[in-house]
Amino acid sequence: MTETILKVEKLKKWFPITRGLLRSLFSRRELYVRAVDEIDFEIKEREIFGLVGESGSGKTTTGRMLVRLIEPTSGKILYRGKDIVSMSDEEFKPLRKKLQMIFQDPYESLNPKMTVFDILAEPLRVQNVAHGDEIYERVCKILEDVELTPPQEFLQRYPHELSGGQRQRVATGRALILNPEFIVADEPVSMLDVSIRAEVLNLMLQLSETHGIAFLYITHDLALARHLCDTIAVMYLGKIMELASADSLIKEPLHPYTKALLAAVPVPDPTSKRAEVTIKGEIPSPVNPPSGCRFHTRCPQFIGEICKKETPSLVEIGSHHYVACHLYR
Amino acid sequence: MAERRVKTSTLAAGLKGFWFQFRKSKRGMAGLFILCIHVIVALMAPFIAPNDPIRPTWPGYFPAGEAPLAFMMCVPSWYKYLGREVSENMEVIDGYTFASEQALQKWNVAISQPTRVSLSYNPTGGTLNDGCIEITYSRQANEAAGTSSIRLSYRFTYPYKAHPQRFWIHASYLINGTVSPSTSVHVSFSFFREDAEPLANYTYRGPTYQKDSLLVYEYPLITYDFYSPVSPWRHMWTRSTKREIFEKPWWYRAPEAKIFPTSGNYTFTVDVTFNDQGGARTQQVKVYLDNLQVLLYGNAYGLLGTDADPAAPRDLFSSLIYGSRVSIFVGLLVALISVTIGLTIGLTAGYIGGVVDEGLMRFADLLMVLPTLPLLIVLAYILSPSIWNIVMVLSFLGWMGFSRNIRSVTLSLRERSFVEAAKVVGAGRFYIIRKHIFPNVVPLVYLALSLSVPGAIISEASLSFLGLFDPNVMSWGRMINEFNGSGVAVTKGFSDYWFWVIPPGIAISSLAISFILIGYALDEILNPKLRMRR
Ligand SMILES: Nc1ncnc2c1ncn2[C@@H]1O[C@H](COP(=O)(O)OP(=O)(O)O)[C@@H](O)[C@H]1O
Ligand SMILES: [Mg+2]
Repeated sequence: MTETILKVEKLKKWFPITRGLLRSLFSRRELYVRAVDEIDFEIKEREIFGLVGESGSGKTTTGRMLVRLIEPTSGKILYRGKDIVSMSDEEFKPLRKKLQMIFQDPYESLNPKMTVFDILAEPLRVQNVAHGDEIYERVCKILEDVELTPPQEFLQRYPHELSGGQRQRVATGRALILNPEFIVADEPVSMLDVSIRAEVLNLMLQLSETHGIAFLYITHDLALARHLCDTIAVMYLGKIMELASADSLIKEPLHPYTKALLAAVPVPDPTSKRAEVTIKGEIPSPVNPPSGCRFHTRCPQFIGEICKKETPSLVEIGSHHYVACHLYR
Repeated sequence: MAERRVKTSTLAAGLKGFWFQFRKSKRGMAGLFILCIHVIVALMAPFIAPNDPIRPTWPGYFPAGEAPLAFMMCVPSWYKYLGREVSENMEVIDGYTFASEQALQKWNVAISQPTRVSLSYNPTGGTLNDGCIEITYSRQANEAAGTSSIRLSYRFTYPYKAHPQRFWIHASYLINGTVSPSTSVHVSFSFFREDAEPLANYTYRGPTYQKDSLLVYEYPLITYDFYSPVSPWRHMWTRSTKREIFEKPWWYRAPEAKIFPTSGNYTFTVDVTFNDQGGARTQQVKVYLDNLQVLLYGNAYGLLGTDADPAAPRDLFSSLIYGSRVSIFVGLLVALISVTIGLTIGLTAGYIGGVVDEGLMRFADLLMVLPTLPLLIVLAYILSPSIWNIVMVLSFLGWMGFSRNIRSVTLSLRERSFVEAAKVVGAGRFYIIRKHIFPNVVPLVYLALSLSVPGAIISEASLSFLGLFDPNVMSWGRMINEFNGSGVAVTKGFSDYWFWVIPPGIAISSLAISFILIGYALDEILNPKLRMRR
């Protein structure tokens, strides 16, 4: 069996809400945004792990914790068995080479004042893994890998001289240049024109295969996740609702929320049958999430008091198919 | 090598792009033009300004001591073209150091007893051993004692209708031989005026005589008596302000006005008298004279007149030219230092945040609410107003606004995902500030530089105006302060001496405006919205 590269245990991130001086004087109660609330999952070598959910459900926060951009409130992140949360910055710095991230917005994630060469050389310089000519060679090599050819034509350009797709290729190259084992890709194509999304995605897939990289692929698009990912976890208000292999999640979705999401996906074949499940209303505030099952306020299969009172835990139903719902107890 | 080939300095590239846009702004180019003029003037000051700005002196070799450059409160000399009667500075005697024998030919020599007194040119004598006048008196023991004299006359033309304000007579002398109380030497100076037509409203009570068709008025001045040898060389100034300047002091007040009432031909004479009561002994006396010069001080000088310093009046034009150095130096240096402080503190507070941010910003607030001018005055007074202290004080009080600005920009920049992208590859705080935050605030730095210069210039001028100037440098604020202190505005009227205040005022404001115009242009480049409003 392939080895587990990353294991997440009871990971939690509550953002404290900062309030004005007067307000905090009169009320002691601290308020939190419960962005991520005790989630568990594991990612294997070379696996593409999809994290799917509506916006505001805590996907980005999870991804950012995995590469230690923010510190979890509690919980563990085990990289090959070692907890990276409790490491010091110095201890973690060499590990950064293994854990990289591609950001959502290529218009934001590239410094407008740096040339493509400087952007791509920065990881090598900061990590001190290459010098002089070697930097140049590796940068050219990676530009070829991300199909920006000839590389010499792009080295001197500034981000504003590139198209969105080209920028995301540069961002991808930057994530790849340190030869990582794991990459968090946070909705990497959501800001791109639909016409070039497939191209960029295919490139990423192909590179992950050739380089043997595991991905945490964050998206709100279940249809996309289905094509890309080996395993999919569905998140809602900071909790994982259902986790299964892509096939089994799409073929036999168990959680009402997953079903609702699937119903929203347009189907190419109009004759195919699918349960018509719709959900109503907006996603509730993560500051004051609903008690019990977080989804109960919008759940079409609400079964009574238990949903309001008890938080369902993620249980295994069938092989590697986990769901957190009182329907399956 | 390959790496160096592709490495571009982002700062230089940014500057080039900046210039490209800047060129299009008329206001910016106008500002740059004015600034360039100021900078050129400041750099070329020693070539443009004819005189020292602080302690100017009359050029030339005067071993008795430096003579002032000009009379106080002169008007500009170009007033003569406006039909004003002015008098200008004049050196009466050509070749006054007697460096060649030709110099002696301009003098007319008259000797009462040619057998005893003779005059010759001594090519190796003199204060610089470059030649001087040598007067020899000799009497054999068997000859009768008596008085002999020699008169050296120098005729010259005084061209100005207005009388001079002062005259200074310079002389170097050395007397050796058998000088004693019984064989004394007397040196006296006189002026003579040749009058074609007697002047109206002019009273004269001295000796006159007729020469050709002209009436000659004689003005005997002071006599110096020598009863013992004088060696080595001694030098003296005889000034028209001396109380005993006239032989008969009760004759006239204002000697310059009486002697030189108008243009005409004049003669300056030096009389050397040998009063020999030495009896039946051989007498041999030698009198050496050198550096004979008469300076006439006019009431007009230079392009902008002179100030009211009674001891050493300054050339206001030279002051104005050198003043640009101080203003530009203080303005640029203060802007540079305060912007650097503001940038450092702003970046630190904004990026590090937390307690550091809180502490730095409260400190900035504290400095900001302090009343600036009183604080400046107190600090400049305590620290003694040298130019460096003024720069320090102004820099110390000038960074707060910019640091707040930079802090707020940093707060937003640090949330941008390119900063997170740098963190993901392991970049440290300092690296991120240097490579990611700083290049993105560079345009703001340019803007702040150009906008904080005028403030610094005006603060420096205000301090100088209040008397807190460095005594060793001339600044525009100091010129205005000295105008104010002279009381001229009250006693004579501002309009008579406009050339003392208006030029430095215009200079201060035009330099400040040049930076403001440049700042406008930069602002337009940075905030494209402003461009549309035009
Ligand atoms: N730095 C932060 N401080 C406070 N709240 C945050 C912060 N980052 C994210 N959140 C909140 O956490 C919740 C989850 O956000 P996010 O992880 O970005 O969701 P997603 O990526 O799934 O759209 C949101 O309600 C968001 O407002
Ligand atoms: Mg997100």
